[in-house]
Amino acid sequence: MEKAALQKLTVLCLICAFAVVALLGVTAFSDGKREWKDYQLQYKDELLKKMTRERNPAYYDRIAGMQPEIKQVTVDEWKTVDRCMSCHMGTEDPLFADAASPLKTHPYPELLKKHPVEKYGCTICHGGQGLATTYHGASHKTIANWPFPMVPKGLMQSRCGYCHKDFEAIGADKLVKGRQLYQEMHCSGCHQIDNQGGAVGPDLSNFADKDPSNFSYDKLDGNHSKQVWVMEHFKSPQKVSPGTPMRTYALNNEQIECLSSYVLSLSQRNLQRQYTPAVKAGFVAPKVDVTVPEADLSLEDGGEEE
Amino acid sequence: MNDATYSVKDAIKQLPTNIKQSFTRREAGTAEQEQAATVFGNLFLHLHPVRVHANALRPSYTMGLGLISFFLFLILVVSGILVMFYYTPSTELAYRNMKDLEFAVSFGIVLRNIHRWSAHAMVAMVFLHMCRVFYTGAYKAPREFNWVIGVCLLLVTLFLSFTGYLLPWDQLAFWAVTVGSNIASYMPWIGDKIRFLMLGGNEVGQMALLRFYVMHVALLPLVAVVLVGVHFWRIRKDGGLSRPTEE
Amino acid sequence: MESGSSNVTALPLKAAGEAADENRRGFVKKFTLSALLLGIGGSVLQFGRFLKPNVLYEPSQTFKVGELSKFPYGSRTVIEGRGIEIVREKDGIHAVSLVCTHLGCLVKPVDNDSEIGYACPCHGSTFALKGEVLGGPAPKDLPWYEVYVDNSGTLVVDTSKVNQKRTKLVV
Repeated sequence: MEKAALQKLTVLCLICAFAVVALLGVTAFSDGKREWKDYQLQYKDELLKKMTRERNPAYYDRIAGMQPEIKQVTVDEWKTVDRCMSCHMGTEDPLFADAASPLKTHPYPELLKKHPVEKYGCTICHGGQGLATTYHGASHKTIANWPFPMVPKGLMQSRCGYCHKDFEAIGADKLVKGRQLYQEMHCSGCHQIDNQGGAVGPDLSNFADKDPSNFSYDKLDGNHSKQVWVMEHFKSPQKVSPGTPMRTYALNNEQIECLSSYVLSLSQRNLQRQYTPAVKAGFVAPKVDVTVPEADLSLEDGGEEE
Repeated sequence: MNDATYSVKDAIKQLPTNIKQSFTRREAGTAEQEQAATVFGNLFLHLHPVRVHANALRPSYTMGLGLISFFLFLILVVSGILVMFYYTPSTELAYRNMKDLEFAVSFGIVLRNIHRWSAHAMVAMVFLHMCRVFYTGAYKAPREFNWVIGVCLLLVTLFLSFTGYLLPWDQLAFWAVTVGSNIASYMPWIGDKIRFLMLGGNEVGQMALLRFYVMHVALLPLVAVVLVGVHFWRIRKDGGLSRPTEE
Repeated sequence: MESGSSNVTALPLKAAGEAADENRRGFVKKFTLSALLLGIGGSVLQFGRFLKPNVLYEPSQTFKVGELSKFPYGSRTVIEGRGIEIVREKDGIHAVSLVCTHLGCLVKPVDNDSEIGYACPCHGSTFALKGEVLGGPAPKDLPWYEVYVDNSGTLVVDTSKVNQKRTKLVV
């Protein structure tokens, strides 16, 4: 080949080689930069400042020698892997009560004690994508159509009611009110819960477990998530589901929140014994509606048993 | 046995040279002969001819598309094998494994993305390579058989892409395979049977995922390697890359 | 280098040109080689990092065992499923591994024996109250693991760190 062509090829080869090495270097470097590393180092610094070595030398030395690493909890019962604690390092540490997010202590430490992170993870109550290790990946802001968005504060009690059916015992005031409203407004006239109610509207017995793809989001004002759908649907059923036989009821925002929390707690899920909440002896779940008759459980006519 | 007395000390002194010479055999000769022997005597290099016509190297002629396709295949094999260390072909775990690669594995997102982008690029490059061969008439005699091999390679590439597409087990994957397998079922007479065999059942589920995984990481790469070998061999047998005559 | 050029004045120029070419070639070779080494070496390093798992789907090696009040003075509490025993004495608390150093069976704590603290049912190794090996096929003492108390007062055991010095945690 002529010298000129060879030279051109050589130069091209060199430039490409240099570019590839540079790009690989940039990749390697930026792969090492992770959000959680910064938060963990921040936690370490702040914790060392809040502690004195004399009071707890074992723990102090341990923190001083801490290296950033991904922390995760696997909960086989609900097949999740939660990595929230990789950034939310201070959740169980009372010293971080007035720290900034994400290091802040959990605002309800008593609740947390009853539902330790090692056993429950975080996403069963809070939603979000536990597998992620970034702010956006974890769905702190709603990702459109993502099935498990973070549960907003107003609807948090829906997650209590997901497992705990004795609302009064756990002090879930919104769920108590929501169930009461459901009774007072006779939703059972059209909707069924646990075989009690009419068949005009959809069965709500496992509403909490219904896949979000069953809902239509194009008429929503807010984010495209099932939770927003429920609230806006209560506000104006005709707007969210045009042509529905459900009429608009006069509900204020607080009532909507209570009803939404209640409806989003309805689940048919059976849990392993270690995850089943203990209930008082003699606890009987209140009837869904006092006027609509319960399903006939006698064996003779079959009733409405499936 | 006088000058051939065996001396242990000498043998040890000779050891480094002996070891080096055992795998870099160099037959003496003229400079050209030695250069030829380097290529000819090496398993990996002897796929190349000792001499190449200058015109065959002109980038504007072949645009190196075949070479690029092969190189992408190598990238896919390496990145694919690495990603295999973290992937399980189970409907319960596959998606979680992909999320692990994205969030928890060092360099995981890079390798996974390299694999994905190279796959798309390879399909494009293979197609362009086919166009180049066609438009430069490089399929004509004596290269007709190589064209056939090339078409088989195109099909293998497309099937590799299709089977790999299912493995993340996300919505995109699931529906793509649903549609693809339904298309297959439209073949007259044997369509449904083919779909059943392909999916290992009637629906796109665990069996389908497993079959597609085996095809993608074992069967199709093997077929591809064999066919690529034949493809390169035919190029050599047919007198090298087709090129414009002396100008 | 060329020899036998007819023009005397052209020879040094040509020689200089050749020398420059040699320098350039040498530089290019060195540059390419180093870029190649950097690239391949860097890639190998990254692949190594890739293959080292960052998260394990196993129970964590560091785990909470409970509030300090669960372990009164003089108590020896076996933590089920974790193969350790928490021993609380007046001068401190420590965690002993119950995995026999012979072949890995779980040893049984022995009560009411001032000498033997643990006995292994598999091949008969015996250990003292502090874990030192007394007899049997076991080659080493039962290790102690690092323990600490976190800021909410819970005792935490870290089985990835062996307490070589066998110092008790003073609480």
